[in-house]
Amino acid sequence: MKHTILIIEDEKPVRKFLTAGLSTSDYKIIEAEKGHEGIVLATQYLPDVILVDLGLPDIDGIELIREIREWYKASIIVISARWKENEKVAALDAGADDYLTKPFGMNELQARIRVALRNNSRTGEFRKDGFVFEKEFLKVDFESRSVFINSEKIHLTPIEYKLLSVMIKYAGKVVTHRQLLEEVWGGEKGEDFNQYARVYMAHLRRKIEPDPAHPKILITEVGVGYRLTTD
Amino acid sequence: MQILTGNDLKLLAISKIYLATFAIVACCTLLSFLSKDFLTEGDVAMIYLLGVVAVSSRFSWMHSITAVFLSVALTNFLFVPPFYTFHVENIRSVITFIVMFIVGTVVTWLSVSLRKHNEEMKIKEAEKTRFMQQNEENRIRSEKEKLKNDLLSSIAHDLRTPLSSISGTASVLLQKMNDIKDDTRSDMLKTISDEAFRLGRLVENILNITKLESTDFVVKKVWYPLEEIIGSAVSRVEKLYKDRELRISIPDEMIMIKVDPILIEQVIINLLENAAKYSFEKTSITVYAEVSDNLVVVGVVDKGPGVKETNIPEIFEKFQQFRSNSDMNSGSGIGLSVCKAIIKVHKGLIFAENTPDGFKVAFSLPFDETFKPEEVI
Repeated sequence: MKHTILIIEDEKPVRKFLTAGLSTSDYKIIEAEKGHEGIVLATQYLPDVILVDLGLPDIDGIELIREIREWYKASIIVISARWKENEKVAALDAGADDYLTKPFGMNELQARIRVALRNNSRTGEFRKDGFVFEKEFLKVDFESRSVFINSEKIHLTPIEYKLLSVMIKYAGKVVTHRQLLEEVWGGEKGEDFNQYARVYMAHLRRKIEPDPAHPKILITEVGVGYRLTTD
Repeated sequence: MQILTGNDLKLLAISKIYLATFAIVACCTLLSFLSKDFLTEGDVAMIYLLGVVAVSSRFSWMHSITAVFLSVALTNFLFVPPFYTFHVENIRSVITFIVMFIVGTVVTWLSVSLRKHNEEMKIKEAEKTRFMQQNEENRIRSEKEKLKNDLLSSIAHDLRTPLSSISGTASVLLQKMNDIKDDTRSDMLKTISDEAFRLGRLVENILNITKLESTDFVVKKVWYPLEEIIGSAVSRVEKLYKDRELRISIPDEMIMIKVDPILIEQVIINLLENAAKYSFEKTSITVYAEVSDNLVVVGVVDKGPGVKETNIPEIFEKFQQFRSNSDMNSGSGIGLSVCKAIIKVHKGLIFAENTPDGFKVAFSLPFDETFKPEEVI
């Protein structure tokens, strides 16, 4: 079955190249030029992935995401300019699942969409008994709560283990500092608390990555959060 | 006292200042009246003169003279026998009144002229300051104007280079689509794609420099592990320069720095891009970090031809470009000046030198604020 992708983007050339790039794969593309039109089409088609440009003429991108997120369960990917980190974080906190920075290549977009589709189908499946996560040199056995690097068991503190499992839960997707804090420590924390997440993540990375400054699995999205790579 | 209150009420409408004048005189009267058993005429006169000094130091000569007349009259009426009349029995009292009047007038005159002089000085001073400010403003404005012009011409030049290769290549592709060999075609398409990305990075830098130079820009510093910033910068550049070997050499211990991570990442990206642009293919580029007592130094070393010693101080100035190599990309003069601006807002230093290992550009940041995890736990 073809997956449906809704593109909400006001600039025609961008829409055109997105459609051209994605149509060759197994996707059915629906286009919306404006935010309100996008909301209507989303309710009509229930797409598997929604791509939203944040700079829409008729409605604020963050507002749009919040509105769609009220009832929409599948993935929302935001397209944003690089220098607008705050906007990205706001979009992710409003309910977007991932973002792409302009300018981006088709490979990058296709990879993000694959991750989004995988996450759609995996909702609820995570943490089933016997679930084992494996990626390159890292292996996590959730049943026995053990972590292996190159088949060698390593020791993680409870917080580090929790951090790692949250990152695996959202594998491929970017996780903001705030989301991490909420998932690992619970509750709403102030922005000052973000550094807490960074310190623990740095510790975790030291235990997992052979070269922490050149990570292969736990990637930093500076100013936004982290991503556990899946490609 | 009743007469005085009546007077006060009648004159209330005239002006607030007169009211204040009367209030001061009334205070002197009250003070003298309450302690009249211990005071001589002379003492009373002194108290009233004090009031005149108070009035003349704040209000105009008219009010002050009014206060003088009132004081003399009230002294006569209340404190000089026969009391509660304006008759005078003693010749000494007349002398008191005359002295009171003269001293009061002189005080008024002195104080008012002193104030006038001060005000004139103030106005002159203000005019002088305004003049100097205007001069300074004009100077800044013309400097900004020049900067803007330089920036615009540099941007125009820098944008034109990738734009012309994009439009040129695209037009050739459009025209001769079928005559071009497959691998040439994919080469040309790659050129378009690469140049477009280069254009994007250029726009990023231009936006950064305008942001940094706006007066209301405030750098938002947070604690960040240095390795995260370096790692992220490396991973961004790595994709673009696959033929270079990127080496990272940073201390094992975790270094937390308080910076705007996106701006510092941009500095490292710019340094890495420059290194890749101006060094030879298949050589290595090293990113290193060092910590001393109160400094963190981060640098990038490439194996390129370097920069002539005499030109080194100028490479961080806007629109200067001293490294060039026949077949290498022509650079944008903007990258290093963005770095300089970013490091400046972080109160750090940026410098370059030719070393035996290659050409090095590095920046240092103050490291006196040590990160304590307890602060956040």
